[in-house]
This record gives sequence, C-alpha cells and structure tokens, in this order.
Amino acid sequence: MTEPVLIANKLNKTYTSAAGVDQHVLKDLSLTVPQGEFVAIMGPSGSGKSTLLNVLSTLMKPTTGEVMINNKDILHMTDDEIANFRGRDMGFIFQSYNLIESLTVSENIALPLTLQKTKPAQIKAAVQKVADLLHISEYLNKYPAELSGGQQQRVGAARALVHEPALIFGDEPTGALDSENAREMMNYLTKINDERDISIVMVTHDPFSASFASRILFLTDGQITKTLTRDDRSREDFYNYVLSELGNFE
Amino acid sequence: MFSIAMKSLRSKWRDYLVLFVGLMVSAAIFYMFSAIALNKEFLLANSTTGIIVLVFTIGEFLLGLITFVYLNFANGFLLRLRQAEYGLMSMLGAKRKQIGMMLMQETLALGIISTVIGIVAGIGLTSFSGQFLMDLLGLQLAHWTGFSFHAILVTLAFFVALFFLNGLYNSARLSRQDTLTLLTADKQVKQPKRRKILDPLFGLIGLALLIGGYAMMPNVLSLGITGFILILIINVLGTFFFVSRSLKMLTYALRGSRFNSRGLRSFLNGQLMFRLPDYQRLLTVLSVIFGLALGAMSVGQGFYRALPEQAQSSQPYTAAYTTNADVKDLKNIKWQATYHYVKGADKVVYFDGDEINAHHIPTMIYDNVPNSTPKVKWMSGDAMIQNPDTTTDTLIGLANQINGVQFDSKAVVLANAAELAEKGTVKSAELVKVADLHENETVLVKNAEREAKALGSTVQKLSGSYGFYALAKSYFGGFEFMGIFLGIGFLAMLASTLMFKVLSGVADDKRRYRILTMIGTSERQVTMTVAKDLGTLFFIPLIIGLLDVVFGLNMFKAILSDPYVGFVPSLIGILALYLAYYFLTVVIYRRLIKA
Repeated sequence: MTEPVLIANKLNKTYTSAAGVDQHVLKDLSLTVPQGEFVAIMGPSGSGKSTLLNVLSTLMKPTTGEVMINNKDILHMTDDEIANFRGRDMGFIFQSYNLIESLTVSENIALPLTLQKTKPAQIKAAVQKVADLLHISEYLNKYPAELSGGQQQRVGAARALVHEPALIFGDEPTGALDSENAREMMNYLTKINDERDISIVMVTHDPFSASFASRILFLTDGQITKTLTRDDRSREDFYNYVLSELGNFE
Repeated sequence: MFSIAMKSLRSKWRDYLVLFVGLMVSAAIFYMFSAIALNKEFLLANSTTGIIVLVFTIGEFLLGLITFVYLNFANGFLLRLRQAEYGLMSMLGAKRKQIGMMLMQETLALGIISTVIGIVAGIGLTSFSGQFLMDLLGLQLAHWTGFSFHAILVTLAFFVALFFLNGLYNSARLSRQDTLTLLTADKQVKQPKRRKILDPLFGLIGLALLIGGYAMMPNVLSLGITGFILILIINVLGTFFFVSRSLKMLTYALRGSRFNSRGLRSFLNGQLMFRLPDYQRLLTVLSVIFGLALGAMSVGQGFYRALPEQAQSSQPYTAAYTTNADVKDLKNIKWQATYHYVKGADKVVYFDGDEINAHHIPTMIYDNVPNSTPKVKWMSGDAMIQNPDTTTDTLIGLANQINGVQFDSKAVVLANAAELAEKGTVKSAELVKVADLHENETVLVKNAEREAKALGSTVQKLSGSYGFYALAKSYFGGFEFMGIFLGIGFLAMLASTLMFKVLSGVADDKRRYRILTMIGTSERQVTMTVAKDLGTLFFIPLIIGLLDVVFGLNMFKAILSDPYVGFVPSLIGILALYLAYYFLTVVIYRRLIKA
C-alpha cells in the first residue's frame, strides 16, 4: 500500500443561516487517498460535495476534524504556509476555468511558478512542457477571451500542473465542456495521473467523467454512503457499472 | 417600464450607492465653486482686480469640463452595471426602444436625485467651510453667502443637461450592441492595440506639449487670457498623450521580460494594461485636479504667509499703543520703547528729542533696487532736530495714527521734555515689535480694536506692521480665502473621483484576487499587490500635478511677490492628506476584495 497523500478525519461542517438555523453539511466524514489515486466524488445537489472539496483544498476550515496532506496538518498552518502549500503541493481545476483575463495564456500558466520566485528560464521551460502535453502551445500568446471553452479549460489544467503538485483538486472540471472536450480533458487527467503519479480528487455530477477515476465516493447528506472501485474493469465497463449503481442509488 | 427602472435602482443598491455618492460630491463641489464664481459682488469687493471674475469664469468652465468627463465615466459605469440585465430583457422580448427609454429614465432619476442632494450638501458645505475659513484666517469678507439661488439654478441646469446627454449617448451605445454582446458584457475584455510608430510619436508630442505649456507659464501676463486658456488646453492634451502613451509602451515593454516573470509583476502589468483605456482619461483628470488643488492651496497659503512677512519687513515696529494695551500678553517681543508726545493743531504731533536720543527710533531705509527688502536704521532725536527733513517715517506714521488719518500728519521733534510740556498735555505711546504676527494675532486684534476705538479711527489706519497687515488683508484677504477654499474643494473632488474609480473596480478585482489566493498567493502578497496596483492610480497624478504646480505658480507673480512662499507648506499638508487617503483606500480595498 502506498503512503496516503491525503487523510481526512471526522470532518464536520456546520453553516449557521442568518435566521440562526444550523445546517449540518458534513457529518463525521473520513477519507484517505493514497498517492497516485484518482478519486471522484459524486452526489446530488446539496449533498456537501463542494463543501468537502473546499475543506480538503484549504479554501474552507471545517467546524471540527482534521485534514493531513503529505503528512502536514493543513488546518493549523499560518496564512503564509497555506499559500506556499497551495503554490507548491496543490493544483486546482475549476468548472469556470478561473483564468485571469488580463494575462496571456502563458502568463496564466506561469503564475504558480512566478509566485514561488522560480527562475525565468525554468518557468519558460516548465510552461512549454505542460503546454505541449495539453496541446495548447500555439495559444501561449493569446488571451483567455480569444479561446474556446475547451481550450480555456486546458489552460486551467496546465496552470494546475505546471508546478508538478502532489495533488490536484477538480471542481466539476468538465462541467462547462461539451462531450468531446470533456472526454479529452478526462483523458489528459488520466494521463497525468498514470504518468506522473499525481493524485486527483475530483467532484463531479457526471457519471461519464467519474468513470475515469479508480474509485468513486457517493455523498448523501454530508456522509459517504457508497464507494465504487474500478478494480480491473475497463473504463467503459466501469461507466456501465456506475450507471447501474446510480439507478439503485437514492 | 418606469417601475422596472426604479426596481433596478433598488436591486443593485450597493453599486448604485458608490455611483450616487460620487455624483453627489461632484454636484456639491460644482455648487461650492458656482456660489463663489457667480457672486460678482463678493469677488469684486474682495480682490484688487476685475480680472478675478474672468479667472473664476474660466475656473467654472474648467470644473465643468472635469465634471463632464467624470459624469461620462460614471454613466459608463452605470451602463456596464446594467448591460447583462438589459441583454436578458432583450432576450425576453423587450424592444430596443423600451430598453433605451429605461436607461434614460434610470440615468435621469439617479442624476436628478444625486444633484438635488448634492446641492443641499453643497449649501451646507459652502456655508460651514466658508465661515470656518474666515474665522481661521481672521477675515471678515463682504457679500459672502453660502446660499445662492443663481448657483443652485446653474448647477441644476448643468447637471440635468449633462445627464440627459449622457443618457442619450448611453442609449445610442446600447442600441448598437447585439443581445449576445450585452449578455456576456461582464466577460469581455478590452485590450489596447499596440502601434509601434504612432505610440512613441504621440508620447513625444505629449511631452513636447507639456514642456511647451510649462515654458509659456511664466509669460502668462503678456499672453493675456487667450494665453491662459491656451496653456490650459496644451497642458491637458500634453498630460493625456504623455501619460497614456508612455504607460502603454511601458506595459508592452515589460510584458514577457525577465523582470515581469517574478512574483506578481506579470499580474500587476496585466491589470494596468487592461485598465489603460479607462485609466488614460482618468489619470489626466486626476493630474489636473491634483494640480489645481495644490496650486489653489499654494496661492492661498502664499497670501496667508506673504502678507505678515511683507508687513513685518516694511514696517519698523508692529504696533503703537496710546491707550492701555495688553503688551505683556504678546509673545516673543523683539523690541519695545515708550515715547512721549503732544498732539498739536493742524495735524502736528510733537516729540521729545532727549527721549529719542536715549532710545533712538527705528526707521526703514529703501534702496532703489526693485524687490529689495528695506533695512532698519536707528535715528537719534538730535539728527532730526538739526535737519527736520530727516524726521522719520516712523514718527510721521505714529502722528497719522494719533490723528486718526492715513496721510498728511507732521511730526516735530523738540529738544527736551520741558519744551514738549509747553505745547500741551503730554501723553505716551508704547511701540512694540514682535517676531511673529500670526502667533500674536488674537492679542494684536484686541489691542488694535481698543486703540482704534479710543482714537476714533479704524484698525486699518493704525501705524506699524499690524495696521499695514490689516489694510493689506482687506485688499488681498479675498484671494487668500478663495485659494484655500478652492484647494479644499478640489481635494474633495480628487478624493471622490479616486474613491469612485477604486470602488467601481472591486467586483472585477475580487474575482482576480480570489483566483490568485487559490493558486498560492499569501495574504501579505495580496496586500502588497493591492498597494502597488492602486499606487499607479494615486502616484502618477501626484507627479504630473506637482510638476504643473511647480511651473504654474509662475503665473501668479503679478499678484504675489513670491508665489512659491506657500508651496512647501501646502505640499506637505496635501501630501500628508493624500498619503493618508491612499493607505485608507488600500485598507478598505483589501477588505472589500476579501469579503
């Protein structure tokens, strides 16, 4: 068994509404992701998927519980430590791409490295490498607004990869893409996962995208209620398996 | 449609509040300026030259121009705020004409409400700050009023007309865009086009215009009013071309450079590059307003400082008291002595020569060199007896005060106290010189009023530097007041323009900074980046405005012997306020993008 890259232990998250009503979104949720694993999290709206991803990725603090990434307790880090941690060990891919429209594609991709004060020559090489991998080299000097949705999402993925993080979080990375672009994006993620041994934790509502993962966790009312593992199944078989299980899932 | 327009005002109240406050402040300032500019009695009664009315008319025109740009900018913001919603309505079947009508109604409603409230605020501000300033400067100005019906009408008419024009312009702009463009308006970015030959060319033309304008400034008197207007136009155009083109070239040169690929420099550069189309107009307006604020303040301060200095250096003593004055309350007395006198017939006043031999008496000696400072010479009584023509101006001035007149008195020095006593009742006058007039102003005013009352005279007719100062102040105090008053007005305008621009960009920047945080930017880095990002907006106008004033003060040589005397203190005051405002803006902005 490989060393776990992420351990979440008894996570609870409660929101208090303006009217003073508590809403328990995550309930004693525990989860372990070994290095190199590709995990998808599925669940109906309001099941706590996004909250879980936000807590795991340091964007939000849980009410109680602990999160360890690469043996580091991320809940007791200072702001600077969290920033460095995000910049070095994590990558994000968002549904809405979240590119900075005033920067060119190459500047957008380079941001995590320029933030870490990497040398310009190394930045250039790393950007080129990841751009080649995702087939976006020809757009490096363009602005996000000049690209299609699929192209923008690949730029977002390139930015998440450029600093070779240990873990990538995806929040509906194919949510805004058509089926062709979605398949392409998932193939890239699988490739990264296989070749570079980067762990991926992805939230999605789409069974097709989820079928690229090696394990799928189903979330209902803030708890993991079901786990599907791909084992030796082909991607297509796993997809059918997920669909059949979804039929039984409430 | 009208009710929908009103509802939309309510729905985005936070953004509208920013817009509303900005518009209100600009209406208030326009009113403040108009209240003075249109008050011809006040201007003529409180300045030595009729040109002042023209200066204010041009000032009003200039402020109108700035307000026009400001309102145009504000309405652009309004349009941007509403575009996506208009797109949605258009998709749901609203006609272009209906949408245009709605935009016009919204613009006018916002405009009229903010102008009316702005005018009310302006009346309060004008009355309050006017009275406060007069008290502070020790002035009592004739025909001053905070409430001016004429100014209310002009402000209202000007603003409603501008809003109407802007509404028409916005509606026209809206009708040219298709529904899809409107729907995705938020996501579109404007990128300035690079022109390899035209950019440097226009940058150089801008620089040449700026330098040309500065070179013309010292000669403004010979150029006349046309020259003044020309300088103004040249300066504004020069600032616009120089700032916009050099920033554009700089951002392009930095893009892709090694310098840019460190930390958040590429982000900052990108921010600047994409804001340039908005910024170039704004930075020009801000530079001009900064220059006007600092310039007006410097001229006002110039009078405030120059008058006492002029008075002190042209008079040998500060005041002469023939009544019981509170001399002991005066601070930093440099010299004091008592002289006895007898008031005779035909405006002749007799003095005791022995006594003058004992103390001597100071008088001012003028060289025949223009603008030279007169020197103090101490005279003996004997010298004046031997040659009555050398009887000092000091004694004649004192005799004038005693007779309650400004001219025509005679001073005769007699040999001794016995001869003096033969002429009539002997009285005494105490002459005092203090180091600083401002420091002693309260006591000097009290003493002077008592003295003038006892002599049946006025404060302005008293001898010594205080009397001279009071006289000069009644001539030039109006300039002093107007300078400082306008300085405050322009500062408020500057602050409101900056606040408006900064706050209107929060929504866009919030998203960008959130992305930065998510990919590993620390809180400290974000704060530093915000500080640098806003720094451009604050410091470019400061540099250009400062240059404008350094050269522009030359234009006031005609009415102030040293126009630069108020520059440094005004600069220190305005810089301190400006820096405090900058830091405050950074803190507020930081909080807003974090929220």
